[in-house]
Amino acid sequence: MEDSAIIELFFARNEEAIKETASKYGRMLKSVALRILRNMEDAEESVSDTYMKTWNSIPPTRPNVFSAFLTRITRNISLDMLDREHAEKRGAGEIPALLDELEECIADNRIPVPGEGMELREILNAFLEGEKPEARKIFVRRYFFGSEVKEIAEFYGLGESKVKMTLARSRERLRKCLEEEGVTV
Amino acid sequence: MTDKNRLLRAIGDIDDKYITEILAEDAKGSGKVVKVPFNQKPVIKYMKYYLPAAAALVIVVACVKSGLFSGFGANGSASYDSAAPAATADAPDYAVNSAAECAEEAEAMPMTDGFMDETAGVTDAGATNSDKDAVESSVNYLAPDGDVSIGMPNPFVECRTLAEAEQIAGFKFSVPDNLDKRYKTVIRAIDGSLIEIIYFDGDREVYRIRKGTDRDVSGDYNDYSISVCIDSANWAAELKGNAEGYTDCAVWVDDEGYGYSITAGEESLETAKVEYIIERLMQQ
Repeated sequence: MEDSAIIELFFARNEEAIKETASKYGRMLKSVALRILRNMEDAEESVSDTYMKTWNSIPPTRPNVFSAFLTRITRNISLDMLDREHAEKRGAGEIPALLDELEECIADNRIPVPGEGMELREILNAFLEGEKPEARKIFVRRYFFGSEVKEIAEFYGLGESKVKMTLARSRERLRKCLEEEGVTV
Repeated sequence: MTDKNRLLRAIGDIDDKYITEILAEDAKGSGKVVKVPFNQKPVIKYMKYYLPAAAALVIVVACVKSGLFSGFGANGSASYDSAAPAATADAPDYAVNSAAECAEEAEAMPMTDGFMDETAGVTDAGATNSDKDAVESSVNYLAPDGDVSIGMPNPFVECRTLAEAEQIAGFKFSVPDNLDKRYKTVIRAIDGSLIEIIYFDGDREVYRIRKGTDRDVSGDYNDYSISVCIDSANWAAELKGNAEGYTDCAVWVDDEGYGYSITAGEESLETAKVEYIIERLMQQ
């Protein structure tokens, strides 16, 4: 079923909407949740919560890109679950590593909170817009989807050192972006 | 919330186009999922089982046709172990003629449940095992050695702990303690070759995982319409099933050459779940 048709089902408050969403995107969403949570039951719960949250969001929201809309919800719910359950103690996959790496961009700094100056989201989008496609995709795979370096390297047929180097350079450029936008580095 | 955490969260708010760019790549599966030509690999892989299994069938059919087993039920003490070689020796001409016929039959027969049922039915009429157990007893323990001793006792030893199974099998099998704790398990081992853990939901078998010295320890010889190889960071496995997103059998080999398998019980398993189990096993 087309995404637009599924969204219409949500607007019509037809529960088939959830069934169709699960059928079309369930596996992908579980994969996103599993990368973050590394626990099947938690991932299943995260995906179920995604459907519930989507049901509560549409209407009034009308997603521009349904797959990205769902992916973002699953990612946020999964990160919330990690925070809530202190899951790093029982293995939070790549998240601690991601946080350590991202700290390089903000060392001794503070990130602007919403409403204070330029939104962080805008800074990130401007940064990604300026990245070359390969570097951008590697960055998004690593820091949005939580993919391991080795996984990214295999996907693109690159060496792990090349991926690490690309990520390090991207982080450095992001650090500069944050600095230019008034975030002291 | 720490600043680095806030940055990680903010990355979740990037434009849709950057997310869909990745989802589109994943959907294409470039570099990650490699389609295996349908049936080609299993046929080659299982060739070593075809000929011995066909040979065993030939001998049994020859014995039955020649009536050499006619006194078997009467004395009640003879075993197929001793009868089969004797039959071959006593009726060589007939056996040779039957061999040609039966080899043709066996070649024409796909390695399906039907084939296995027939083999099990001829060799061990009293067997009450499932099709999978029939496969185990008729192929795993006959074909690899070329041994025609049909009707062998079940080689599995039921174990109370994994450590006990490891002692019998002669190798370690690390399984996460919290892997599907909600299910009850049965642990079994075969001397020097295999460890198996079966997960039950009540009386329903959900799946079984195996580790063994052979490269394919699944014992599952069904034909499946979907067969894909999935390469992950720590493992590469062949996943087989009949529906998109569901897996009935997964096989892979670790760096030390031990074979592993996950086979679905009464219902197919979600492929994501199978991948998760493999990941957990290979993290051990």
